[in-house]
Amino acid sequence: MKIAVTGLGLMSAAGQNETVTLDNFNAGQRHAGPVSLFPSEIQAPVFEVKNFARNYFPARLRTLNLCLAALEEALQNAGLEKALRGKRIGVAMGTTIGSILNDFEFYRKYHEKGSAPMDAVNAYLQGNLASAIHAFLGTDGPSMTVVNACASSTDAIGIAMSWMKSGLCDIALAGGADEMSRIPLCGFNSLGILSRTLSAPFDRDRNGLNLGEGAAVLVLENEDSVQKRGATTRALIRGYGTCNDAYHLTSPDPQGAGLINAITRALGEAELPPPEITFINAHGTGTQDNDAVEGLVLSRLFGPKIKFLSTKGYTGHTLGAAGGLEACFSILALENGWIPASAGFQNQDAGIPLAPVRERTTIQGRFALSTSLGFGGCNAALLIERPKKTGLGL
Amino acid sequence: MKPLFIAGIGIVCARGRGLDQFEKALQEGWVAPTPSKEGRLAYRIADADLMDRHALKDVRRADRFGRLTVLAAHDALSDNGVGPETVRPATGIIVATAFGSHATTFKFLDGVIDYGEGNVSPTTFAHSIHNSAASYIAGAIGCQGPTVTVTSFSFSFQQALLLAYVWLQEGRVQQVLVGVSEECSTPMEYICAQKLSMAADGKMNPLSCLDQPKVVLGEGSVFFLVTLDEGQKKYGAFSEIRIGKEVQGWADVDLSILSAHGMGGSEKIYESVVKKEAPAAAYSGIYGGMLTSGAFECAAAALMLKHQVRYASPVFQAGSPFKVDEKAVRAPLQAIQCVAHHCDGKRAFIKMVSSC
Amino acid sequence: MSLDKETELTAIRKKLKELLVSNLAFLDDLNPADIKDDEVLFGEGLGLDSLDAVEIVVVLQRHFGLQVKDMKEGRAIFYSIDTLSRYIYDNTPRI
Repeated sequence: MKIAVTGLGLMSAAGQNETVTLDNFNAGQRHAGPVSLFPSEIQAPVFEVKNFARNYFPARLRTLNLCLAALEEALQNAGLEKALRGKRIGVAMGTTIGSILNDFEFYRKYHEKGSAPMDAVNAYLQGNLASAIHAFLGTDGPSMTVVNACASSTDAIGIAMSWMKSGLCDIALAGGADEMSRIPLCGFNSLGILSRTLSAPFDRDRNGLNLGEGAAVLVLENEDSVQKRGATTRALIRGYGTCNDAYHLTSPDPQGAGLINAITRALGEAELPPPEITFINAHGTGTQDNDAVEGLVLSRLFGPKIKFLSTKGYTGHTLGAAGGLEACFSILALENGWIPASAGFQNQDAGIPLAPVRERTTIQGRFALSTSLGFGGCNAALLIERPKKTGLGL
Repeated sequence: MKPLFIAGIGIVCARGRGLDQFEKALQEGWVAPTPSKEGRLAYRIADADLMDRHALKDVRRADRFGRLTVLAAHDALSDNGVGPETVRPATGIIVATAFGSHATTFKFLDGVIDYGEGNVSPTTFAHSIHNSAASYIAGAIGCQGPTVTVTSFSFSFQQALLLAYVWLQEGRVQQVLVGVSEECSTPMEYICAQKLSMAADGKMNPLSCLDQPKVVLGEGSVFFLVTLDEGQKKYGAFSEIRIGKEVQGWADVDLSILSAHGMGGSEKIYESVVKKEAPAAAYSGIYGGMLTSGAFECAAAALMLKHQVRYASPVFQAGSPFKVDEKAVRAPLQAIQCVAHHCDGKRAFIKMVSSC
Repeated sequence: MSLDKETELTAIRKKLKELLVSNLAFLDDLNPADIKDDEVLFGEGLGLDSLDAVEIVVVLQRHFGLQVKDMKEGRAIFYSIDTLSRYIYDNTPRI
């Protein structure tokens, strides 16, 4: 069964729609700054979605609001704005912050006094992404909020595909969201992997990640649904692989066993050999460990000349949204025939056998791979195809 | 749906670790929950039940949530007769939870408040990410298959079970460890005391279909090792899963177990999803109220189908519209349905059968 | 070594051992007094790993007011209870 992407919506510091995002990619513009969404002593550049004020739910549910903004854009793009009410669809969304009861003001009051008002808790109980989307759209069907750390939305997309191939739904909405939050800011800082300068994925002098926030939603449909609706296929998701390292809680397996497995499975499902891959949107966080492992694996599987990049130089690390955003960026790249410079990269690391693209680069093939690695040894990969001809049907 | 055979079960709850302890608890019935320092009653797991040098040897730093999850998953594998020493690339792991490792999140926030943003514990941060427990399972059993953690306040387990089935159907894996984990914490007990009707006498009333059911919070973990291979069947099978607004259960089951955990608002809905006078049971009085208690109900059903006995529901339910056993009854049992509802009007039904 | 310095180092070692046991996860209930002064922290000794290393950085910050600016520098400092204690001693301001 072919799984088509018929619409997408994205929100990140790189842009709140496709046009602005592509403009920033083209110009190599990186919109980072100090944390402004909450008071913090930590002085590190972050990638916030500026001037975002679309509150479908209370403003404190920022992750959900970002997700719904991306959802609306995706549905408009797919021509499905009002068409889903009462229908059976799948909703699979990835997040980390969006699933945790971590409202700082609530907890500070409780910590001090042993009591606190319940507003934050009531909001939290409304904020499960997949459940809230079903409620928002008035739909029923498979529902899953995936919390697989930084691989969450890639796994959400993969799960949605599995549902569709099993016949549980003909249409699914998949992606993820995460807001700028004190917990990962302090947490990554305590791990020593939060950079105090703009991140430099795969660079010799890289010293950590920048935190970001964002959301991405893809509308997935099977062939029947595409044909019945006369929908436009923007891309096909041909393969998905997901594997655990079973190695360490916060460090990836230095040999990349899980990542090799995940990529191999995605290629296998698509029945495509490595040389067919035009480019790779790597996870590329800018940390010593991630980029070393990922570089090693990509070089081993695809050779040192494979075109690849990390887009986290434009968005920061958006955690649960990362995989979804990067799938969208891969689709945009295949449609437009170019990938942006891997922002932040200047000098090749002698220990990494390949280097990402240093400038905007034309691409000519039809297949992209997007990889995600997460805490807890999660590894996930998606294989994306630009259809031979766009327009109606597959 | 093809039958999803149950090849092993592992469980940890306030009544102890292991299926034997769980079955003993089902036979014994209700025992009083324990009070916290603040005087709040809950069914909490004893610390001694979370110590196991062998099972936890590769996961020494796991927080409490991680430990209870790993132990239940480990036990589900050993129940199948295979120890964790065997590498299992063809095993998937799905952990479902409603609230995740909130005790650790609160501990992390304590660190921010007490020591400042720059002095927080990185290990506590890592544990506050919901999927750390699943990662510990993978490490403990040496499993490099697909591993996913999912969260929802409604039907987290039922959706996870559905995903396990989908993974097996598509051949992504040969077997899946699928289960749930929830924990208690002082802040969460405070929150529940504000929002719910706590049972001052420690007795829940899940079969009374009340608008304001009483709750005693619980914690625990249950894992099922499931497969499409009938040769591995040990406890019968999940034969059907239905989730949604319009779905119905089955009239031809021998027993309906209600997932009436007292945390989802009015439980009057059960009067309309299970026939009046039909045999019904509810066991939340054994393990406490948890949004993912569906898995515990399924564990109870699996045991009953295996041993062909209907266990009495703990605590007599005066005025229940259903036929409720006051004592255990040995009777032929072919099918049990586990019924759950959510305050948004959706419901979930899982049918379990002793043979297919 | 002066008596004062040795006394202080002994006190630091004791506090450090207690903090390591209470902040790092040891499955065996390790008695701080059973940890040798020259116990190697990583690898073959106590068997700590990279996550423990950053946890120790936080212990130094919280309980001794010390920053480890560069984790590469950290390797030598974190070698054993002794080297870590001496680092703490050397970097603690004295009146």
